Amino acid sequence: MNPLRIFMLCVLALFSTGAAWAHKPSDSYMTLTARDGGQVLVSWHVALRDLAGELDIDSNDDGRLTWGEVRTHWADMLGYVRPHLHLTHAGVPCDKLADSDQAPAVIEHTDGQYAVFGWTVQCPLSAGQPWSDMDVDYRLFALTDPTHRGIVRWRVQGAGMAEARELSSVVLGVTRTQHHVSWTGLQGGAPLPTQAAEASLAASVVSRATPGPAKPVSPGQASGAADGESHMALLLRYVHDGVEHIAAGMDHILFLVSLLLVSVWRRDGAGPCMAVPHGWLPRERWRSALGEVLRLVTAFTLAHSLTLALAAFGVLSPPSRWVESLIALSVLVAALDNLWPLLRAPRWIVVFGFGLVHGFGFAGAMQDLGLSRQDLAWPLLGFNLGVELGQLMLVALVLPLAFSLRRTAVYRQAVVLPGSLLIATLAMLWLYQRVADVSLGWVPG
Amino acid sequence: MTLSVAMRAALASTCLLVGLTSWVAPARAAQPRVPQHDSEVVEVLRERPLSEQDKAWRVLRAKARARPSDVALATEVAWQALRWARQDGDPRWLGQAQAALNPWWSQAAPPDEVRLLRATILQSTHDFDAALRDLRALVRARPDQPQAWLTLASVLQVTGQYDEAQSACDALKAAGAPWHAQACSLELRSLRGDADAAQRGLAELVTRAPRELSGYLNLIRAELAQRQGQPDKAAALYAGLLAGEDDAYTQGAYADLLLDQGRAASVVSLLKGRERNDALLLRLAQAYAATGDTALDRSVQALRARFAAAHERGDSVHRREEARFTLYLLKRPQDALKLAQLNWQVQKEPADARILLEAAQAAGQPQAADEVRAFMRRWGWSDKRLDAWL
Repeated sequence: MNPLRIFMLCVLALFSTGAAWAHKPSDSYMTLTARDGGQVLVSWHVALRDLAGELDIDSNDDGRLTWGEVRTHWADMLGYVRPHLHLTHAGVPCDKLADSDQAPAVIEHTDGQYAVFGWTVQCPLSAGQPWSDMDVDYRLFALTDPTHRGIVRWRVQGAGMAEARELSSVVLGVTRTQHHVSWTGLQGGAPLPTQAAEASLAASVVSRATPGPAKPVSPGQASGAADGESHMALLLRYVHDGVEHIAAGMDHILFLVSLLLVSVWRRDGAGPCMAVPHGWLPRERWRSALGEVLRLVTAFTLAHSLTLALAAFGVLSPPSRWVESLIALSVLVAALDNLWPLLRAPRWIVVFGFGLVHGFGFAGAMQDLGLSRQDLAWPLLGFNLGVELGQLMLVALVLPLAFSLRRTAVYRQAVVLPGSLLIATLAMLWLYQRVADVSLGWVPG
Repeated sequence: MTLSVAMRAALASTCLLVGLTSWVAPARAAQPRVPQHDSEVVEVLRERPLSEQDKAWRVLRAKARARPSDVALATEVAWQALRWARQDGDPRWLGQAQAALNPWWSQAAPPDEVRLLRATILQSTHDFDAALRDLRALVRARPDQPQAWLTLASVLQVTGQYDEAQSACDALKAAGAPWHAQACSLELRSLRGDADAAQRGLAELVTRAPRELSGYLNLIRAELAQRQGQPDKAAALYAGLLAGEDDAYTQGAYADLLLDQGRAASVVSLLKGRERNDALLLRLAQAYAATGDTALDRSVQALRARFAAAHERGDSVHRREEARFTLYLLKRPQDALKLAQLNWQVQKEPADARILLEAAQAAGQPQAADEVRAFMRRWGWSDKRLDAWL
């Protein structure tokens, strides 16, 4: 046997079993939007790499596709892909509407640029006739790359609907070339005024397909809305994550605790300088303590909600090392302010300022939950509510106790004084660790 | 009353937030676009320059398609596609190889050459059981063919079936590939409790064996040195390998060594520009996390999207990589543990053991990795990097 051949083989074998591939195999992404009047809007993203593998698009063979080359061969590409898709309604083919081809465009997916093909087909429904069974037959690249898959999404957009509604998605390819959908409720004919109300509740989809490989259940997929998960369930899931984050975030907790400890007191300039904690008088009424706490918590909430949203959408992303260091600093300042009046400005303004920094810290935690930009709205709301809930639970725990003890010397000398000192020390250690980027194993949190 | 004012303020802030998110959200998804100029490059088809070989292959492929029952043509097309698959790390080439073998792909007993290719493609997509069926049948039919024995030994080693792997290694000698037989045996020995002797044996073998094999042998030596807790030796071997051939697998392995040593900055300079490769992007992202680089967020988003895209199409090939991502970058030890456990069902290499042990530890369930410990004890695996978790 040719030794070179063997060498190639064993390296091949060695490599293939051990490595992960550069990216995924070939996919195309298709969206089929069913509309009133029996029309289906087809939007199909096909990878330029795949098309260049079959058609001679790279005219000058330099390995780079220019927009000019793509445009020049657009008709060829469209002529190649279109025959591989067949849509039929109740067994009758849906034909392409003349002049419905959309202008050439490209779009980016995770593994490169894709050509965007769009056109409309007309299914043979008469006015007023309801949709029944649709069949999709998908054969793109079936003979030239059996690992190719078409990820097909069905949507419906009735007359009264401002936005299309997602129905189902399926993966088609050589292992499963056909997909059968039957639905009720969406009128096939021209929209009548009464249909606007029905359209929004429209279709229930029953999808049948030749049995193919089941989608693997993977925990990594759990982050966005799972199929069929209602908004409420999604929201609750993130509320839980928010609460969990607050519970686990010792720096956030200690920041709040520092504020809470002295919320049952109010500032009073008088008093001997050496008496620490300095310059506080107990509040008379619980309402004033509660009011102070709610003022501070609201300021904190508004501030961190703002920066959390900004960071979650990538509008602002300060480096995490600085964020974490500033959070540690905020805890230090809050704790020290309990002992000596460091802050001139009204407390709620200071808390607002620090809240902005804490918000960036929460964003880091939200990132860990694995979300795409598109579905951030509900998770963001849920996470925020969770953080609020966590904070309110802390308040409910600490405040009544603190209020009842506020006048006692024990509270002053044995709770606030050592408590604030301890928090300040911890905060200083955190600050050191985070700024110097070291880890002192014996420091908690 | 202060209470209701505060409550109203809180409600207002959340409404503002929701409003903000729905306004901002649509703007961030990728949208179709029309480039402004014809000269704009919209896609780079390949990393390496186009060669005469590529053109010749296309001609060959066209010929093979015209004559679908010609085994020689089909296998020629498929072998070249597999070589490119390995070189580029691009699984699309595997699809091309499989396409060339379409007429025989579903046959129970295709021609031997086709069967060997099928087995190689299947094991590349981690369908090890199917690959083993083909390989075992092949070696029974043609015990004099070294390629089949070698691929068989490799797959058996990855799936942790060492006894049978040893027989396959031994058979290589009789099949006329003595050097590969030695390399194979030594590598197995290193996993069966004799790592020191294996290390010495491999060091000696590389001096005596033909030139073409030194890359292959040095890669084994580098990984063994890592397991022996000799990072400097491993680093020297990797550096030597990379000077010769800049392939993604070696780069990834070297990056892992550097990350272990805390040399994250070196990883960034090594892998910068290779973000297109998922496996390398993962190492790069880990390096960004270690150095506190602002590029971290972008890398994590990109990786998340890529794994999601793979899931969307029903793939689960990259579980080891995904477990690492989930553990170190998403910081979700429970999910990482599940992935690592699923991964261990399929393959049992040292890296698979490592991620499972690490995930189990991080999730606070060290007993979840007991299977790994039992496996290591049974075979006498020694891996100094894993001592802490045993």
